[in-house]
Parts: sequence; structure tokens; C-alpha cells
Amino acid sequence: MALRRLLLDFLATHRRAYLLAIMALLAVGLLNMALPWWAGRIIDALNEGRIDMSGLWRSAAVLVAVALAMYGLRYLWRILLFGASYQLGVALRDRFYEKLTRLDPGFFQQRRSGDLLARSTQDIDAVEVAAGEGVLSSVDGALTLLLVLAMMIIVIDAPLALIALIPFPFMAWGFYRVASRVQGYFGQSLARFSDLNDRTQEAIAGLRLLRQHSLIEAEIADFDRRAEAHARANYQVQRMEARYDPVVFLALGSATLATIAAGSWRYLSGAITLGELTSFTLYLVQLIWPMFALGWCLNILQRGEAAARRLTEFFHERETIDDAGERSKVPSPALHIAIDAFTYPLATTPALTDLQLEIKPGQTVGIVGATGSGKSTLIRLLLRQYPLTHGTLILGDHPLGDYQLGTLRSMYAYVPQDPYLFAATLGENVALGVPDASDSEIRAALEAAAFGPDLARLPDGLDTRIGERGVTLSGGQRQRVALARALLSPAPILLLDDTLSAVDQTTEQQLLTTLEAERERTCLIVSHRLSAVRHADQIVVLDQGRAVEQGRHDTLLTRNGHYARLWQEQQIRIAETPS
Amino acid sequence: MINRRLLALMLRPLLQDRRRLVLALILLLTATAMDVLGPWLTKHYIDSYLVPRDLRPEPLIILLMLYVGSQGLAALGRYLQTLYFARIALDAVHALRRRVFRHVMHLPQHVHDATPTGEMVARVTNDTDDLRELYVEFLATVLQNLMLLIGILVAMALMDLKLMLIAATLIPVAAVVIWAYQRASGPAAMEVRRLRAGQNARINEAIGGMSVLQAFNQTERFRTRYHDLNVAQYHARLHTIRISALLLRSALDLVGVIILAALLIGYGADSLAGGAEIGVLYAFVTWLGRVSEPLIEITQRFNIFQQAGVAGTRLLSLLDRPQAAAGDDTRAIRSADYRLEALTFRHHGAEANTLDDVTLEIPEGRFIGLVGHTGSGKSTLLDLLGGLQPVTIGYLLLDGRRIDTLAPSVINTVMASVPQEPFIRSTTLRDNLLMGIEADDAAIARAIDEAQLRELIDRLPDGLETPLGERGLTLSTGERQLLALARALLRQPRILLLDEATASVDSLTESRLNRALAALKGRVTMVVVAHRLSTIAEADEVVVMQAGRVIERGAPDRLLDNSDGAYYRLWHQPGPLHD
Repeated sequence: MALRRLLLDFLATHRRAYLLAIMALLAVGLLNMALPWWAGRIIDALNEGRIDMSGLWRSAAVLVAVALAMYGLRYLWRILLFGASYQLGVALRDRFYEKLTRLDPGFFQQRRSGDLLARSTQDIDAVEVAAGEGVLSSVDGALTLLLVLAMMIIVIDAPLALIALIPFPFMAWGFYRVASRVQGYFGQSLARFSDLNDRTQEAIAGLRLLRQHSLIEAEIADFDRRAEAHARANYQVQRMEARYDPVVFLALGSATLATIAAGSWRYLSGAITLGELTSFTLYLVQLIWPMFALGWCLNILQRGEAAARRLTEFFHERETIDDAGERSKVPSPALHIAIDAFTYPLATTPALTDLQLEIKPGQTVGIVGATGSGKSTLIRLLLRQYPLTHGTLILGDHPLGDYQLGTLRSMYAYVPQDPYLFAATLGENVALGVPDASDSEIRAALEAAAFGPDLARLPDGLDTRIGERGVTLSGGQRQRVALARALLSPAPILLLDDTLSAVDQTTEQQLLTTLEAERERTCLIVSHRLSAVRHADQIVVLDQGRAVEQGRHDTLLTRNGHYARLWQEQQIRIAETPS
Repeated sequence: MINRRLLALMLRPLLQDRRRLVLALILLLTATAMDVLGPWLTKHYIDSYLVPRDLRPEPLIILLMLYVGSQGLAALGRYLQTLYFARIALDAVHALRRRVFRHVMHLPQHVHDATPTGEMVARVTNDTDDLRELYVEFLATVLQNLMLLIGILVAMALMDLKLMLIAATLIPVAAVVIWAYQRASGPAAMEVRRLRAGQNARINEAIGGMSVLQAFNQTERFRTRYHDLNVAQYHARLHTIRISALLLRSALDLVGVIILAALLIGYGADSLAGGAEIGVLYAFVTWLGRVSEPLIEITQRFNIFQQAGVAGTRLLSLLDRPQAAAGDDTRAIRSADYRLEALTFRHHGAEANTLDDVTLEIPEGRFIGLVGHTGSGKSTLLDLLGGLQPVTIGYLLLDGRRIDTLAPSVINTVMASVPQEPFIRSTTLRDNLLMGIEADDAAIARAIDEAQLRELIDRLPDGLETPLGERGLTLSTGERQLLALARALLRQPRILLLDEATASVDSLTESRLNRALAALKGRVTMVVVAHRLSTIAEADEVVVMQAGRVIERGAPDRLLDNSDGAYYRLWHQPGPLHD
């Protein structure tokens, strides 16, 4: 059902291509029938001496002409049919990506990336195959079957046909049985292979760890077992696929035997000629394809249906953030935060409760607290990664939801806690938000993010490829690249989610100086190190989702509360420096 | 591209079990002979019995039994030889895979550091899989079809040499078609694969980095980019369809018909001259129908040759790389002390030394703090102390013996190390702690408490049995560091190497950890790289490094008093922290 819904629209828009392809298939089928018939006629004419050498040449020329016409038509239907089905692939892939862009972080957290990737590749492929090979096998298979039967029964000899065809239903049944079992084993073999791949990946990525724990030989033994399992699964596939051959061979052999036996009888009783018997044998071979197509088509449609169901499910995945706002201008980057309670989907306890915060344009606000106190949650809510159910978030006099998502997002330059770098050059990664930034602007941003010395050490400078299949950057380096990305963006509000955690003391000071210079921007700094927010205009201390203290550094210190205790704790370590 | 070494690499695994190979070849020959016998018998029947209307039952029954017997044997033989060859092929690839994986696991660390993990994994799994396809397809399909082709030609020659020569023109013509298809389709298929890999990479980054794309308002740009890629792939695939529609099945079918026409003319010429037997034509037509299929199969498999050639070349160059040398001195470590004498280290292929003339003595139980700017050689020194990299010039003695003469297992029993970004295996938390050793619950509990991991474990529903990694729980960097520390403590090492091992841990936890480490002082030789003063405040000695050299050493308190010293300057740079 899902497959039909996905395909029907598509077939309707590409009706012309499909109709033309089917007509070409039909023409090929007809010509294909004419060939053996014509060959049989030539043989009979020769046997009966009705033809001379020049007539023979002419007849043979007709044969070649028909073959040439078929050649052209075969080319035509392939381009039309597969061209159309590949277009379906393009459309589905585009739609898949577009859907991804509308989903929220909560969705991505719940899904395994491998699973989503499989949907975008294997499932779309399967639907595509249903629209291409599926149509081919069902239409052409049926067409060929009907034409061959018509030729055998009507043109040559009905009794001969009925006897010779007995083995064919068995062949079709055999095909179907083998095909579905191949499918099953094939899936298992793929699973074993991905198993082997995952484990190899882990072994190589963690090689140092394995070496240091003398686990190399154990790992090799484990690899052996998995490789063995893959080989076994693969053997099952080969074994099943090998069964196609005897199915065809035995069915065709018995059909040939039946043809010769019945053909002898019909020949002796004068119903057919030897030429017709030869033609009949040629038709017999052509019946293999429809038998195969029947099983193949069922398989393709089954797989396509399962894939279409998964795709449809993905396409209808709930989008928690709707882009229903209409405002496209933000009057001022002032933020008014009034959160009554926020609970993550699927969580039981609220991550944030009772948080009131007023942020004037250009202010620097520090959010501090221990791990799990809800610091990052505030930033996620401002970004509208999750909908706030109880409370209001107001940006420049209007609730966040009133703005178009694009407008809202253009207000922020965001540095996530675990920064994501794309498999591209360093320069492209920094210029993510400002694709047309010049090299000198990118360099300046990297310099400001204290990445200058690191940049000098990279083999190709800004053109160095990073991420997968490129240079691997350390956690601290990734954070600084992400910071440069945010600094380059012109957005008026900077959101830093624990950006200074994995950098050393010297670098931290350098970065704080940089942020100091960004005075005209509003800056929200989440940190578990107090040194990073000491100079903020406001500091909010969170503890288990509650704002337990709020104020400037000095005021908070005099209050002798939570903040003062944390400060004490972290100061001890600095105080150990008798400066 | 194909040279002798490559052939040896690919063929040797196949020749492991010669008896089985010979048996499979005998099966193949027998099956082909039986197969080709079918039309021969039919021809004999038509010419000697049907046309002369000689219908005595005895010879006919013998003929029938021969037919049924030969075809049955052919079916069985073809099936069995496929199984045999599949087994041979899969065993061969399994052997090759084991060899490659073992080699990879024993490559020197610098090779792994310089190669992206994905690439190394591709060598072990994908490249060997390309060879698997070659073996399976070559043995199962190409060999079988080639044999059939030869069998048919031999049978034709025995029956009628002139007609056989006409039919044999199919071979050179097909060779040209195959060659042309090969030339055109290789690059086209490569392009499709390249674009496909690009699509996967884009989807992958969309899944991993969508929240970044959304935050930076780049979803539209990336969506368009993906669409362009889809369209490019569509055109590339259409191109491959065009090539195969022009040169593959349609072309060979066309050639088949032309040869049929030629056969009819050749037969007709004989028949008009008198003396041709209709049965000969019948047999030829039947055989001809079976010739084009093997040719198509062989043509389609040619890409596999190419791919396997490329994969094999890559594997050869991997196997040519020398393995890491491992010492064989298995005497246990008596005293866990180090002596470094004029130690110099240069990274493989680098132009400058990373460590330069380092002389250092680390007695058993000493706590050494290692500090210096990024790139000063701290982590490299730690790698050398761990025996992961070989010394370039000078000496590195552990327990008075050169570290490269010690067997890895000897080093591993006394040493534990915690890197900045610890590797977590995708298994349970317990297995991640144990890493192949045995420990009772009390020891595990103690290590967990010391490493401050208790809080995390209490939060997990399945405690120690919680699965981690790709398919399980994802830990934050800080949590990973605690886990790695617990893993190291559990081994009760005599040498502990820490590389900024607590950089991402929050301050409260960090100070608790430092107390736990201080308790090991005197019992365990510790070398700790730190970028925060507090981590090494308790150290016996601090070693300051700069550009690969030791520039200052001494007790931490003394060094801090020396306001001209490098250590003092390192912690007293101007910045918001110390204003």
C-alpha cells in the first residue's frame, strides 16, 4: 500500500515516459516473436526447395533488419524506463534531505545514524528498483509470456504447446522459492559484513588501547570468528543462487524432451513441419524470462513495499518545531526569559524550573553550575531546538515562535559543547555561516579563537581537509574552530556552550580577551569553570535546574552561598600559585 | 597494472587445496560435456530416425535414456561444481582477510597515526571483499561460461566445420563489443560510485551536524548542494545505462541474429547443393541460443576484474609495509624506573626532531609532572615511555633494559596509561573496565570509587552491564576520562602515564581525583602531562618542555618561586584571570 501511494503520483507525472517505454517493449516483443517464425519459414522453404540463393539472401536480410530495429527499440525503452525510475530516486533523496532539515536534535538523539543512512540509501534504492526493474519485470514478463503463448498455440500448434509447456509453471515456482531464500540469506550476509566492518573499525581506531592491554592476539582471534561467520553466510547465498541453474536446466531440458516427443508425433501426423519444430524450440528458450520475471517481480515489490513503509514513516515523523512564525525582522536583540518549567521529551523530571532572566543588548551573561544542572538546556531553548511548554521566551518584544525560523536563527552564533566539524576543508568549516567570507576574514577569526599556532602547523593551512578522511583535530582544537565559526558570523547574540572546557589556561585567557573585544554582541557563556564568567554583567548559578543565585561576581561572592563555595573550590587551585 | 606479484597475491590463496581445485575442474568438464551432448542427441534423433521415419522402439529408448541421463548429470554437475568453487573462493578470501588484518594490527603506530581509520578499515574489509567478488564471480560464472562456450564450439566443429566457423565469428565480434563496453563502462561506473560515496557522506554529515546547520541557517544551502549531487548522480547513472544499452545485451543479441542469418545462408547453400541434414541446423540453432548468455555474463563481470586489480594493488602496498618490531625479552620488570639518555625522536617522514637530546632519570615511585605549550613534545615523550614509538637516537631504558627489547606483554603488565581522548569499546561498561584481565568485584568497586565513577554508574539503569558505544550509551568526554582512569587503576599498575587525562572533568571531581592520585605517590611511577597547575601540584618533580627539549626541572614549589623561570612564566601570563 505504501509503495503504491509513493509510486502512483510519480507514475502519473511521468506517464509519457512510461507509456512510450511500454510501447517500445511491446514492439520489441512482437519483433522478437517474428524472428523464430521467420527463421522457421526459411528452413521449410529450403527443405521443400521453394527458395533459391538470392531469395535466401533476401530472407536473411529481413532477419537482420528486424534485429536492427529491435536493437534501436531496446535502447529506447531502457533509457525511458530507467531514466524515469532514477528521477524518482532523485526526488525521494531530495525529499529525505528536506525532511532531515526540519527535524530537531531530540529526533537525532533517538536514532542510530547508521539506521537513518540505510533508509536514505537502501530503502530509496528499493523503491527506485520497484519503479524500474519492477515495472520492467511485470510488464515485459507478462507481455513476453502472452506473445510467446500466442505464437506457440495459435501460429504453430496448440497440442504441441500444451504438452511442451507443462514444466514451465514448476520453473516459475522454483524461481520464486529460490529468489526469496536468496534474499533472506543475502540479508544475513550483509549483516555479518557490517558486523565485521564495525569490529574492524573499532579495532583499528582503538589499536593503542589494544596494544597497551596485550589484546592484539585476542582481537585477531575475534576477527577470525567474524570473518568466518561472514564467509559462512556468504556460502549460503552462493548455495542458494546456485540452485537457479538446475531449476532452469531441468525445466528446460524436460520441456525440450516434451517438445521433441510431441513434435515428432505432430510432424509424423503432418500437423507441423520441421521448420516449425525448430521455431518452437527457439520460442521455448524465450519462456525462461517470463518465468524468472514472475519471481523477480514479486521479490522486488515485496522489498519495495517494506522500504516504502519505512520511508513513509520517516516522511511523517513528527516535527516538534513548526515554522509558523511570520515576523522576518527582529527589533532588538534584547532577551526576556521567563521559564516556569521545561522537561525534555521522554524525561520525568524537569531540566529547568523557575528561571527569570533579562538580557539587554550587548550584555555578557554567565551560566554556571555542575554537570547536569541544566546549563545547556537554556541555550537549546533559545535556539528553539525544543519547544518550551511552560513559560515564555521573548526576543525583542515578541515570543520566539512569532519569528520565522530562519530569522530567529540568523540572530545567533552558536558554539555547541561537542562541536561538529564537516568533512570539508578547515576554511569551509569556519565559513559555514558566511560562505562568501574571504581568506583573510577566516584567518582573523581563527586567530581570534586562538587557533593561529595550530593553523601554522596544519599541512595545507586553510585548505587542510578535516573531519572524516582528513586530519583529526583534538577536542580543544575542534572547540576553537567552532568558536572561530561563531566569531565570523555577524549574528548579534553569541551562545557558547562550555567552549572553554578543553583548552589550557593560557588559551582560556586569550579567548576571554577575544570575547572582551566582542562588546557590541550579547554573549551567553555556559561554563563549569568560574574563571570564564567572572567578568560577566550577570551570572546565573544553576543547581539541579533551579537558578539558586543570580548577580555579579562581587555581589555573589559576598553572599557566601553556592557561587562563593564553587569559587573557593576553584580558587584553591589557583591560590596554590603563590603569586 | 597486472604484474606477477599481484597475480601471486590473488592466485595463491586459490591454490591452497589443489585436490579440491582439480576435483572442481573435473566436475566442470564433465558437466559441460554432458550439457553439450543434449542437442547432439536431438540432432541424431532427427536425422537418423525422425526424418527417415524409423521408429523402432529399442534405439529410441536408448536415446531417451541417454538424453535424460546426460541432462540430469549435467544439472547435478553444474550445481556441484558451483558449490565447490564457491567454497574455494570463500576460503581463499577468508585466508587473505586474516593475513591482511593480522598485518594491519602489527603495523607500527606511526603508520596508523598517519592513516585515517576509515581508509585502513576499507583495506581490511572492502578491498578483500572486491577480491571475494572476483573469486566467486570468476570461478562460478566466467570459468563455467567459458567452458560452455568452448564445449559448444568443439561440438559444432565435430558436427559441421564450416557452420562452426560461421558461428565462431561470434567470438571476435563479441570480443570487440566486450572491449568497447569495458573501455566505456569502467570510468562511468567509477563516477557513479564516487558520487554515491559523496551522497552518503552528505547524508552522514546532515545526520551528525543538523543542529549546527540549523543554528547557522545553512539548511537551504546544504539542501541545494545535496540536490545538485543527486542530479549529477542521475546523469552519471543514465550514462552507464546508455553504455550498457548500446553495448551489452542488445548488441550481443543483434550479433546473435546476424550469425543466425549467416548460418541459414551457409546451411542453405549446402542444402541447395544437396546433402545437408536438417538436424544439424536444429542443433546449431539450439546451441547458438545458449552462446550469447555466457558472453553477456562474462562481459558484465569485467568490471570486477578491474576493481579487483585496483584493490589487489592497494593490498600489496599495504602488505609491503614492514611490521612493528617487538622485543622478545620476557623477563619480568623488577624495578619500574626509567632512564633516558640523549634521547632524540623524529616522527616518521618529519623534517625536524620532535624530541631533542632529552636526558632524564625517573626512579621507581616518582611522580613527574610534564608541562609545556602545545607541540612541545609532551605527548610524544609519553608515547615513547609507553613503548608505542621507537627511539630514533639515544637510549630509553626501563628497568635498566632498552625498552624496544622488552616483550610488549612484559611492559603491559606493569604499565597503564590514560590518553586525553580515551577510547571506549562498544561492549559493556564492565568489559571496558576489565579489558581482558580478571578482577573481583571488590577490586572493581575500589577502582570505580577512586576514579569518581560511582555517580555515573549509579545513574545507569543496568549499572556495570550497560552497553556503551555506537549501539549503547554515549559518554561525555569527561565521563570517558573517568572510565579510562578507573580502567587504569584497576590494573594496579607500577607505572601510570596520564596525558591531560582529566581536562574535561568538572572542577569538583577533578580535585577529588587529584587526591586519589596523590595517594599513589611513592608506590607508583607516575608521569603526568597537565595543562592545569592543580593536577601536578603534588608532583615530586616538574619537567618543563619547549620545542622538544627539557628547559627546566625541579620541585613545583621551588620552580614557582623563581620568577625568571619558564614554569613561573607559564602560569603567570597576563590575562583576565590574574589582573
